[in-house]
Amino acid sequence: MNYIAEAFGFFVLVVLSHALACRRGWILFQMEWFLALCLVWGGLYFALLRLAPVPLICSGSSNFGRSMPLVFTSFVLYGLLCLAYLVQCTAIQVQSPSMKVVSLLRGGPGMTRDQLRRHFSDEEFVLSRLRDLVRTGYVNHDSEFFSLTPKGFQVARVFDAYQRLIRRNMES
Amino acid sequence: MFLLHFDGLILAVSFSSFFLFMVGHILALRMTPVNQTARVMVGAIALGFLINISAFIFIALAGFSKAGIRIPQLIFGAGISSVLYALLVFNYVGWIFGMGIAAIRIRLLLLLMNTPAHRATREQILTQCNAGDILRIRLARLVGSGHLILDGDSYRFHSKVLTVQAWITAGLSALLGIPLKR
Repeated sequence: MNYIAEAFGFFVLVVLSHALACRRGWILFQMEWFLALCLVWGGLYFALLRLAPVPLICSGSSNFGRSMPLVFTSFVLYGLLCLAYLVQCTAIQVQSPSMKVVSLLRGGPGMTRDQLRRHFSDEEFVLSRLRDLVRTGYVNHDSEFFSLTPKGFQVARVFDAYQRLIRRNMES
Repeated sequence: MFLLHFDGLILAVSFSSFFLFMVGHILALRMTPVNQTARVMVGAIALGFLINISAFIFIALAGFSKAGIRIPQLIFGAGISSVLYALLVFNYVGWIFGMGIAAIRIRLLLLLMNTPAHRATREQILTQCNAGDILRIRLARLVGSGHLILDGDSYRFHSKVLTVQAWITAGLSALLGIPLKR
């Protein structure tokens, strides 16, 4: 129990330090910086476990916590919570079409597709994403053509294979 | 010996449940039509939870108490194992299956891969992938998964899950001090 509480505690520290860093403008959603933050807190957690192998937080019961030294479980839990938090953060970074539909329809009487369409532009949902792919090195852009870089081609092949595996075009 | 270690047991059960969920949902998706995707995913996730809990019940019935593990610990272990399994599924759906915010970008990469010489002009791209198209596909997905209701030609919101998701996003946005893009 104690190990699990500690894993949650260190996850809360990751969230709070990420919030502080965002509010100060030090980092926003750069994945490498966020993962570095997770590693720093994970390293501190590991060091504390080494220095104080008995759980830091008292459970109150006799030895319920000590009898279950869930070291690996707590580390996996910590890692998965950090990844899940990062998934949630991406919803703030870029507006997804689904969440845009939700924000337009929530609390309202309903809208037709044509009414919804007026809030959807190629610039917001296609061209900005295309520019982002160019900026991050997945797509090249010369004066006329957009083309895949080797990195972009690799990612496309992986997702193509995955779509073939599940026999679904995930966007359709 | 590894399985007799309670820490290893929790990890083994949660990852085994996730592995079976992976196998189960891939096989089911391959055998069912596209409009059954949401149903298949919900069924596969529920099956994984059942396997997860059943494993602990089996262990309890198999006399794990001889190894010094008590019933409250098994219940606690089943709970933690379920949380781990839920997080594994959540991360898989968020990063791979749903692709999160990368869905349109992946679609653009696939579009370029499937064009001759793997290149296209802006106009060619917009012919195959535009805002109207994206909206049509998303509406179909949201109706198919029960988040929206199509009443005549009007779409109405009908989803507790997406309401919670919107609250989480709003809360996170307030915590991080970053306004939501609307």
